[in-house]
Amino acid sequence: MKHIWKIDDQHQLEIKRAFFGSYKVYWNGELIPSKRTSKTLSYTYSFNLPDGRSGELNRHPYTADLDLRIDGKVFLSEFQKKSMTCRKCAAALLPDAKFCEKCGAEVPNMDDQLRLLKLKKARTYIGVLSGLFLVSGIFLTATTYDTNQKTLDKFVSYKDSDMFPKPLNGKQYTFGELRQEIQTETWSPLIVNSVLSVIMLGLFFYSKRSPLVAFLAAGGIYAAVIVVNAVVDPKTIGQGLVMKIIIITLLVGAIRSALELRKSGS
Amino acid sequence: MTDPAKAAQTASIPAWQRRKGSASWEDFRPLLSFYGIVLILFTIFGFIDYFTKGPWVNLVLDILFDSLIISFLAMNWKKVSAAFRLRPVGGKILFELFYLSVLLFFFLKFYFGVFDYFHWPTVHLSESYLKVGWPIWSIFVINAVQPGIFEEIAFRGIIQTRLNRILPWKEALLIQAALFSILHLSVMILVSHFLMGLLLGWVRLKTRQVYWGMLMHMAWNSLVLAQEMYPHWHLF
Repeated sequence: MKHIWKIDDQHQLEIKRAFFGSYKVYWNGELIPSKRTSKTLSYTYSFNLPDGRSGELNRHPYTADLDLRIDGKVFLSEFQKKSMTCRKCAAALLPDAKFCEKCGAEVPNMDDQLRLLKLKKARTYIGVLSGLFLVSGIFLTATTYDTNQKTLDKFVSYKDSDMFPKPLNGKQYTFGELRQEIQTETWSPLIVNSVLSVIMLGLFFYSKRSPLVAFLAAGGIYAAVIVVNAVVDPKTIGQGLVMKIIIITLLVGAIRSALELRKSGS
Repeated sequence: MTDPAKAAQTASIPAWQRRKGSASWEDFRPLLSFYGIVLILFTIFGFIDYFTKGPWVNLVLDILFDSLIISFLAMNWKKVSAAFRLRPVGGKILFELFYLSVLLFFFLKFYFGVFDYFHWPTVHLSESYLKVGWPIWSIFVINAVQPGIFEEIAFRGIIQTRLNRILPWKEALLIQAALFSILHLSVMILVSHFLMGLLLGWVRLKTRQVYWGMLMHMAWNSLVLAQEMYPHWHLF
């Protein structure tokens, strides 16, 4: 994907990937020197343009959000402009449009457009989380169903009140209690993940009405799920670590954007 | 020129309902830091509890949690002290809160009845304490009185009061209820505790203090413990 910013009719800025994940900055096709510094959860490329203006490009390594400012003024890349939709009627906006062609609603300023893009991305990831929870619930139940059914088949000849011959984890069980435990073990991943999926889906739709509350709740729930899984099975801490960081970072960024948008009155 | 009819209508709405708020990231950061620290504490003690399985771990976690809340309260005292002032409450408000509590009680009776019907596992607060022979009064103090006081201080006293200053009241109510339910770290009680958080937050708003919420929270936890230990009373 090309990252191009049309600054005005005669000038454009482009960034291209260089070694070790860094980027080089080009002004009208010519390489200009830039200095990379790291901030919390982002990289900043600072440069000076030939016409004397100073520029700063923030790039988030996990979410790939790009934020270009020249002399403090925000510019959207051509790709970011294509992703913009009207807040009122959700129609695609033409690049650099001041008003929506379909409903006539005013298009917010560049700063707010960038924040709205972050909200849109976070909203998408909440929808993705909802799907992931459902799929993982179905997968976990499907993988254990056969084994658990075979175990239950072995218990067919025993009554519920019969005692299991040896204690399990220091506790003596009846066959009835064991049957209950196995049924719970079979279906609880599906039930728990379905509940989470429905909640996340609800937050996905609610985020259009009240993004701040929805993103806070989604972030809190997701963090709590990670914590509970880590306590029950510490191996899960490392599983999908990159995805977890991306989602938490996106949601925190979305909360900040929602607060800033509210302050700017959008 | 102000429209007299509109001014009269606005004046009849309580101040906390009229407040629009102007939140910034700096306002949110302390609250999210508090939530993050509590989650980390719960993770560490969750690990310890998983391997030791004793009520002592819960007791130590409760003491640390309470200390954290007291520190947080001290740091925020100037901004939240109004919620800790004892105020008279009218009979009309108490009646409204009473019938809302009764409605919630019956909903929760149905909610946990579904759990029992399908034999879904629920948490038994008193089990680990009774196993090691702790006295019954200690179980009520640790599982009813302590959470009733300190969770109300944390969620309704500090979090909701601070959020009320920077957000519209509905959003503050929803956010504190969401954080309250999430922090119990159980998907199955997420919905029930969210509704409880909403009711307790509403009590906090209407009475303008935390004490009535503390009483209701303690009463609810005591009912749950009583049902666990004396199921033949058929409370649920």
